[in-house]
Amino acid sequence: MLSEADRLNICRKYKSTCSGFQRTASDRHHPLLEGLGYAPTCPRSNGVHFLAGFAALPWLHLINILWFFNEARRPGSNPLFKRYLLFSAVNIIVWIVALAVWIPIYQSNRASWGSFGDDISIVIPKGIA
Amino acid sequence: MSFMVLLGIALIAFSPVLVLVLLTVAQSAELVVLLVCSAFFWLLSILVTSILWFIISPIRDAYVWAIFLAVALQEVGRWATYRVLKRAEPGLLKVADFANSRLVHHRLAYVSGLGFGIMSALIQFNPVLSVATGPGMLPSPGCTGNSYYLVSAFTICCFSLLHVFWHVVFSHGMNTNSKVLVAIVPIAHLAASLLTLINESGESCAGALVPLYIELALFGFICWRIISKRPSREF
Amino acid sequence: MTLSDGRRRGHQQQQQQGSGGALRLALVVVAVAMLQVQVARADDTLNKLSDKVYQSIPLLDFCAMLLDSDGEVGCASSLSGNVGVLYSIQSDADLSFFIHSAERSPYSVVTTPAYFNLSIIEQLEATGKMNGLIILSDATRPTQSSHAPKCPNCKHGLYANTDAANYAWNPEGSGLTHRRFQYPIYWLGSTSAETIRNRALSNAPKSGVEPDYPLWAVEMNSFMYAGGDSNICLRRGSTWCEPLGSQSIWGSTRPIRSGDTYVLATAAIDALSLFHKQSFGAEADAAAVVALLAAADALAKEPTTITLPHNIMFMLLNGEKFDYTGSSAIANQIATGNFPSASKAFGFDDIKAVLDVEQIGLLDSATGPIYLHIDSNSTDPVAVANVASIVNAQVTATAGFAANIINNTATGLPPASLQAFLKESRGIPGVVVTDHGLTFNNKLYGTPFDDATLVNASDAATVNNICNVALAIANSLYALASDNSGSVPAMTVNCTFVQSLLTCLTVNEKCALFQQTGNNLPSNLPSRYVSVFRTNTIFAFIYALRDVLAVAVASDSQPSLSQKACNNAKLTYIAPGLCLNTTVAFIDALSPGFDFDNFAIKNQRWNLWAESVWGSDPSMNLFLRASYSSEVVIIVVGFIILGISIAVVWPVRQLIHKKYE
Repeated sequence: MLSEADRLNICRKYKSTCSGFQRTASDRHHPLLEGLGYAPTCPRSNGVHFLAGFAALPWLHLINILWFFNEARRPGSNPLFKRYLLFSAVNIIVWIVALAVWIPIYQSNRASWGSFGDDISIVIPKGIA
Repeated sequence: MSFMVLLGIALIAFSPVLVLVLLTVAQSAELVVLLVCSAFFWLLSILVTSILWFIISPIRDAYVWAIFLAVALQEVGRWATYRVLKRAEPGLLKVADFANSRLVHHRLAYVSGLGFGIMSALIQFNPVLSVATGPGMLPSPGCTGNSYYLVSAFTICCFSLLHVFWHVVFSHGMNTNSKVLVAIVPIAHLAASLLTLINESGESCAGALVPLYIELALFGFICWRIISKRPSREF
Repeated sequence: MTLSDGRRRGHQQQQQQGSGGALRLALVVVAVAMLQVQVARADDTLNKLSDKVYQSIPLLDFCAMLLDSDGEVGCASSLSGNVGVLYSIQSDADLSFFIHSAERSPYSVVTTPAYFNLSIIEQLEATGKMNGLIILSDATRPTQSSHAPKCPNCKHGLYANTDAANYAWNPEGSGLTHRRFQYPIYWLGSTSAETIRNRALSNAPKSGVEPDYPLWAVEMNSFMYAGGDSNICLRRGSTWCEPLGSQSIWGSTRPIRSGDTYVLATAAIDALSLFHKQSFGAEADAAAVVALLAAADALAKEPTTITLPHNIMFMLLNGEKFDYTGSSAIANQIATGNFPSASKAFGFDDIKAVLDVEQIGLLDSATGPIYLHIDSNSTDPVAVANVASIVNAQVTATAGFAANIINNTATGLPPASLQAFLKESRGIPGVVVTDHGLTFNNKLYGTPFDDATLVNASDAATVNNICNVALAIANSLYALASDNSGSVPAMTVNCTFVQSLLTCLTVNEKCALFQQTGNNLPSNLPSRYVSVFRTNTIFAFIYALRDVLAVAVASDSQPSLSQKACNNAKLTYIAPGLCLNTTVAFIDALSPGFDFDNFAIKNQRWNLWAESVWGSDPSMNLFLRASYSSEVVIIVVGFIILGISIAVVWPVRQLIHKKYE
């Protein structure tokens, strides 16, 4: 049987791996922790990162992936978990591609877009058109 | 292009002390606190020097007397740092993880000296760094072919390391009640500072820098002898 | 020392620290408070180190950036300033060495006005080594070198898109005032020029080889915010650029009445130069302004003037050197029925003649000839010919002048304010009066050298000529205003007035004539560049000219009235003792295509000129410059030292750990 301290450590370590988005009360149960005699409430985790990332915050998607990557690769993890990470990965690639296309177009053509170019710019460089 | 000069002279002046801090001081929180404290003491001593220099207008242009004043006050600051450290030592050693080493007193002295060195380098080099960002160059008075920034950087590098060695020697001297060791530090400091006067117009730069580095090597040797000696008694 | 001993000793020290603790705290507080005081630097004196490295050189003037509808004109430096090693070009050998053998680029070329012409500029730019240009104003002045275009204001003038737009009225013109330079150009006064000249000469090559680094160099900083063209920068707002404009002045011999008909007499009052504070324009228009005002004075003194069929209106137009800003503003107002006011406006049909006085200061001889230019493609050639003949008759009857009427289809009218009026209504009968035939007599048009040396107010002959021209103008205006019925009475032009006013405009603004009308200007050589449009400030010399015109056209004066009484009597109060019955007003000289209240372009029909906004005043710093390779050496040494430090400290640390711990 594990000592008090060991159980505390394990719980701390695994508390962050609550998978997916809690939609029902049954999602709150974590099989491993229940085996130890604990039934803690798990915080919403990477689902929040995923949804918030849609609010034009691609970095959150990246953090989502990096932070939870190891947990997702664990064999016993929730498939929903993996799906969120996959969606995050797709999302961040879309963002990178979109920005990589838009930024050069904007930088090259802002001057020729006339007042529209000025209207969409916050900082207009001085000394040039 | 001027950024290259800035980076170059910053590296020349600061990289020895920076490397020392990163590799030997940064791991231990207590040593970092000690570093900053001793740096602050040096800053206080130069502050008093500056005020006196400002008030006593005749010495503003007479470098020699200004140097005497600055060295005297910095040595007073060094002594004050030593006294404060002695008082704080018991508490410091209780929480530190290097307290079991034979070299603990030397280590504390070394970090204090490093604090002195860093702060003196920063304050002395500040005007040069802020001017070096521009496109202009200042010929060194002693050797007009070379940039003042470069000579200044080497001088300051040397001084920052010298402060480390001086403080180790001084602390050991105070700990072992060795009047010789305690006395040679202010004398060496004065000598080094007066050596920089050789870098005036018409004189030479190497004439200032070479003796300085010789003094650095000498004090490095003295420190090494101090460290490798087994302590004759506990203090 | 055992751990417990230390603990006990520490405990004792704790108690001691209780009493000393307050003292320590006080010390720390005082130290922190004192640290707010700037710590004196470890330098010799209170001079900053930067003063030893950089010496700030004051400039007299610089080339700014202007924009029009076609693009940018003028100069700008990069954001951080243009750095260049000084190189002096005082001879052709210097120029040739620079082009072929100079190797210390980038350079700031130092030269004299004689070498500031288009061909040399183009050669210097082609080398790619020039990063800035400095002109020393204390060198000998050139005799034939115009910076203005060959056909000034022609691209958007009356003859735009015809062959006449390419005719070279100003054959010496190099177009530098309308050219875009990719580097700053500074104009230095004598003390700065001395310093720079000496430093540049110390950089000069000796026996074909340039001296080694370090070399004297300057950083020229005149960064301009605007870019593109005037439409783009004005669209972005007044923090980017501002439209050129000022105030024009008009005055008439009798009060404005509805239904009245007019004879206009116009002259331009602004001048042009690449350097805006060196725009003296003595021949370009100062002489014309003087002649016009002297004529107004003579006409007003003649009592029958106000009874003539037509009202004579004098206009002093501003901004004319920038595509006729002032005259197009007035012409547009006439076209829309708003001039001089909405209630008493007149139209182009009410203008029976226009006499436009352009350059008249450099007559070929005391008898002229005076040239009268007319538009060949007028829609009312009969009226034009009639007006021309009346003027011709009066001019030839005055002071023995000879006169030529020039009606040339290939050249059209010379650059003149009349072009802007004709653009609105081609049938206006107008005549441009000049001292030159088909090419300018002014070989220094549009340069800082079109000044008092060219038209010398102390020279009796010059003053006499201008005086006679004024009389010819007065006679012509009288004849035109009377529809050439009857003879013109004998009028006298006040020649001392001519000399005083010419001195005021070309030598020193602090003059008795201006002071008599209550205008106390500072002692200053007036530069009359039109500058940017302001609603709340008017240049002092413009006020002074308005007052001079007011006095000149006044029909009546009540010297004893105070200011309040004068205003109550609906008269014009100029100065103590000058309460006048006169009709004079300012009118905005701003391109009609620009709506200043909303700061927006409302009509692209006119070529809109704007001046870029800049941050801090343009400056120049002098310093020594090291070679690029020496700077590379420094950074390499820095990295070497870093490497050595790491290579030494790491093993020593390991060693100490192992051996002693």
